[in-house]
Amino acid sequence: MRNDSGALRLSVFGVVIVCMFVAMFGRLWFLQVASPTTSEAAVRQLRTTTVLLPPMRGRLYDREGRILADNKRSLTVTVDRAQISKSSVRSDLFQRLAARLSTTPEDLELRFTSDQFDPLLPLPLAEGVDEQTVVWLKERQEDYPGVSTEEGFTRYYRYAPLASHVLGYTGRISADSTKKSLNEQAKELAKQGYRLSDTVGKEGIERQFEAELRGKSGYVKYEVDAANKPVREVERVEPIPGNDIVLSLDLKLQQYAEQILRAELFKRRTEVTRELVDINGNVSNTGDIGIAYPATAGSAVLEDVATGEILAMASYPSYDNRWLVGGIPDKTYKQLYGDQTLAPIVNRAISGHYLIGSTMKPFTAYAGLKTGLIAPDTIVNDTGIYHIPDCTDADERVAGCTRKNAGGARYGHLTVAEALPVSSDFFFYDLGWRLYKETQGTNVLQTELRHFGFGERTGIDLPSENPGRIPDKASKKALADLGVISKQAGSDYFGGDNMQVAIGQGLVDVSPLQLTGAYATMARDDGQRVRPLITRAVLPPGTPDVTSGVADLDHVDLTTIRPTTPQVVDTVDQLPQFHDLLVTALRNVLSQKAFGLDPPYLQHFATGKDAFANYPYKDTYPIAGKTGTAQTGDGSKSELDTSAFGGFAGPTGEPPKFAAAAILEKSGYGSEAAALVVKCLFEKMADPTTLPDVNQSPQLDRSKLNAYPLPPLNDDVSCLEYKPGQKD
Amino acid sequence: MATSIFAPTYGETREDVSTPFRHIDWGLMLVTLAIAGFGMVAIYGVKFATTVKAGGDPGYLVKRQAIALAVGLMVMFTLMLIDYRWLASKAWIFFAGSAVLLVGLFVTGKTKFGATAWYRIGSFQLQPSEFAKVALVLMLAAVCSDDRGEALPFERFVGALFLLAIPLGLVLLQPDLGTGSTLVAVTMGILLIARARARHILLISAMALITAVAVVSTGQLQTYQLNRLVSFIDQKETATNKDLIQQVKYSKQAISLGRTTGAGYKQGLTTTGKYIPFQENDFIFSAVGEQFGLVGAGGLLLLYLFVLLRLLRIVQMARDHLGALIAAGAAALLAWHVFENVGMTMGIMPVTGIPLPLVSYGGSSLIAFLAVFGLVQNVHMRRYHAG
Repeated sequence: MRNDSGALRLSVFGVVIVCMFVAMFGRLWFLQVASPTTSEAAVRQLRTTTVLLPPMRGRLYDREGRILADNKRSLTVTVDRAQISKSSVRSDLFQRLAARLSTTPEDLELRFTSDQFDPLLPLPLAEGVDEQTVVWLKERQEDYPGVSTEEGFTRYYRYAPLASHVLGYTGRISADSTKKSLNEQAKELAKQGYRLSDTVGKEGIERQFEAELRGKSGYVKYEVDAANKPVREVERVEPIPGNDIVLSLDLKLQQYAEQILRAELFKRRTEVTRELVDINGNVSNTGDIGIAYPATAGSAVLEDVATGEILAMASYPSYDNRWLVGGIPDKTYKQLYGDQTLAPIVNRAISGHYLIGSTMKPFTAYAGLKTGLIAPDTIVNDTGIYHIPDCTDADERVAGCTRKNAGGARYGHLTVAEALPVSSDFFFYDLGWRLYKETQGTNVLQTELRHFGFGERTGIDLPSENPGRIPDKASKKALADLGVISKQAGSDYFGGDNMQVAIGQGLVDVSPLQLTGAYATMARDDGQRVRPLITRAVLPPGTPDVTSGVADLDHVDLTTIRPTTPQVVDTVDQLPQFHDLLVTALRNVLSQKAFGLDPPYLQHFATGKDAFANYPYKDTYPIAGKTGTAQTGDGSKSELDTSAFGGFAGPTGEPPKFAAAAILEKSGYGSEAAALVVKCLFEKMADPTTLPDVNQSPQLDRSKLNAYPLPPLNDDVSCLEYKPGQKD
Repeated sequence: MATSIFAPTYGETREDVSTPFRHIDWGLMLVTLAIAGFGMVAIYGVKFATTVKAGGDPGYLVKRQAIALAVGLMVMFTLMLIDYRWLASKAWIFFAGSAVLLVGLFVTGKTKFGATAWYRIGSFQLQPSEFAKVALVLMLAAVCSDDRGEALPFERFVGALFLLAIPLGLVLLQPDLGTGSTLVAVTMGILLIARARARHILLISAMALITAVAVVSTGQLQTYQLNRLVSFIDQKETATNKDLIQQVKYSKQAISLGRTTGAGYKQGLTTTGKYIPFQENDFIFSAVGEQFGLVGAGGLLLLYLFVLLRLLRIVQMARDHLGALIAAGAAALLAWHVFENVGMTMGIMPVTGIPLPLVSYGGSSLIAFLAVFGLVQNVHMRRYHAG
């Protein structure tokens, strides 16, 4: 390098190098001297990550302490969605993992495409995985990229599928794609202490009491390395378990109610519509004979009259809430939710919409007695065909000016106490018409029926309750606006409408729980309506177990949490005055006597005669109740009729203790189906020692999840036997 | 002309020409060895806490590094023995050999951290791109040297770029942007001293820049490469670059925590933990910064600066243009390596996977740099032979 150009170039080189070092020294000086001193503690803080510790969910007990819902520590295998976005990679991974996770590659693929899982979170592949599998996966982490394990609790329904509808189930919070952005939803949830991945109660008690059951999350703060792997624990706040809840259900009764309901429906499917011959040998029904009853669905409720506590609540078709906890195959999910007719997920006892037919009559009778339109000794001559007086209303011109008794029967001279046992439509058509026309259109019938709880939510502590409907002018208009009825029909409320309400037909909408509650109110001589309750108490966590599956409620004071005094929500003010008359009439519904004796050739047996003929506790535990048969559609297909029964019972000499109702869809006469279910329930209440025991369920076979057809029955159905003959 | 490669007899001599080993640059040699020794101390300090805790041998990496150092010293002395001019005359053999090794990677190489850059030899891994750097220094020096003192002709300028393109293309295919950048730095350094015309250098720089922009904007880069660039410019954390941002954040924190005198050997909160990936190799400087503070990290930089000034001195003192170019290539290689690596640990350069010369754990790099210093010593030792 002897020339100037070389020297110049060398200096350029040198300057570049010196510049680099000036930059490095400058930066080093800035970082180590000029920048503020960060304490090691502050740096440690920056290097932490917080892992939420899910709280143990509160347990659910039946009134005897049986642990209906429990928790199991569980391991969930998840996979990072980014790792399996390529379908070839995904199918390869699923192929290799499926057997180890006791599932199939197809089902894993279904999970991947399903919208049940949060798209922003790792996809859960298998829940309730055993430790060995987790260890096996950890050892082979390199072979299964993105696969990791989450620890938490899973809900464990020890006696499932019993009371599945009441308990509900838990599931991951599902992101609502129709609403706000996921981030906003996550923020809102965070305010309530939730993350999108959290598990919440989705139906039933689990949903209703989410706030009590949830508890409070804890957290662990870990110091993390650059790959966000925990290095050491910095801080730990333990989660606070949720509160336990004692239900009012008695699981033995619940089991029995579910069995007897199902058994009756199955039995009913083997029976066909047939000729009805009245006491005088006349064939009294019309329509097709020999058609099998579909008997697709039904429900039954048993309530404590004094407290409003629900002891049993059955709905069929039912499901197993364990299906929904561990992740459910798509096919089963569709069976549960997709089928509009069967809809096994629906708790019909509280969400069902039913016409209740003649089970409405005692309440119409009360309205008549209260308003003075009828007196206890008022006699109506039932000629079999009711002629609407002053037949001018718009709808009457369509439907005609006469109404026949169901089955074309004719009952002669009847007091209200006789009209109820034979279930004279004539009597109640007349009363219904008068309750509208002779009260200046003040909706007296509606008002009184609402005092019994019809047409409004009972306020039971369960979600998704059907408020029902007692039609009036406003609700008819609303229905017409919705297109349920024609504009013309919705234009006004007529005497004919009131006649339909009086016999529980037309636009009436009642849930089985409402029907039960109305009979419970009818059973009380003080006329008070109490709010039905499915829970007895909320308990702090920590109630010990006495034996497997049963918690020790004997040493827990249930009264400290919720007062035991029943909550009166309404009063039927003049019921005390007419109580004895109505109760006697309802007892007579089940009696073996004949009514309508004037003239004698028109006498008829009570509608419940055959159903209750073999009831063994007539003297010690008498039942009062009413049958009902509600026509659906145009009423021409009697096999599609809704079978209903409501009633109450208790030991002789005491006020009635329990009310019960059953409504069976497409099962024909109330006396032939629903009445038997209620009778059987009261048989067990008369002698609870005969109730079969309940056992904890064996492990669920996840490979055979199927909403229907359900397995064959083994139930004791002896109490369902009856000698057929009577109608309605 | 009959020549012995061990004792060249041609040309005039000012001093005792038969004993070039008397003219070793001892300053350079001692500082080189000091840096390498310091590297092993630093590696031990990083691994001590975690390996002891895990029940392992804290000296494991240091032992492996010592083997590499021994091999590297043998390579260095071998290269010092042989006259650099003879070596330069055979440069194409080294160059072709290194290219073959790079090609072979695509057949049998081992993929790690997104790049196919390693051969497995027993329990050791050979990274041929490290040796490609040395081969490129020698090859370009041989091609561009011209003792007539004239400007580098355009044909040879273009020829040099074609030579660069061979290893550069191969390492970019791995893909390894960091090593690619060092090859470019070496070429720039040599072309500068080789009297390439300024306008040629500017032209080719502009073309390189345009190519780089085109490559980035047309999405030719792997996601992780783009992440490194993007997260350097925009420090916002996203799902894909989170670890990377974290790595640099921790690295800066670690250096900052060292303050003036450091947290103490084997004491650093960050660098003895598992916070920073590649702590013992690519991110060794953050451990130096945390454990030894400004004194240690600044001192290390001063040692590098000393070595670089020493190399520039050799550029000036070299007997011939060839020697000057070898020293210039070595200086460019070292300067870029240090700047990129140290800069990345302090957050002023994008993250690439190139090691801190002589200090980072990694045998291939250590051996390659010792080979480079062997070549430079060679030039220094034989500076008195007339060209």
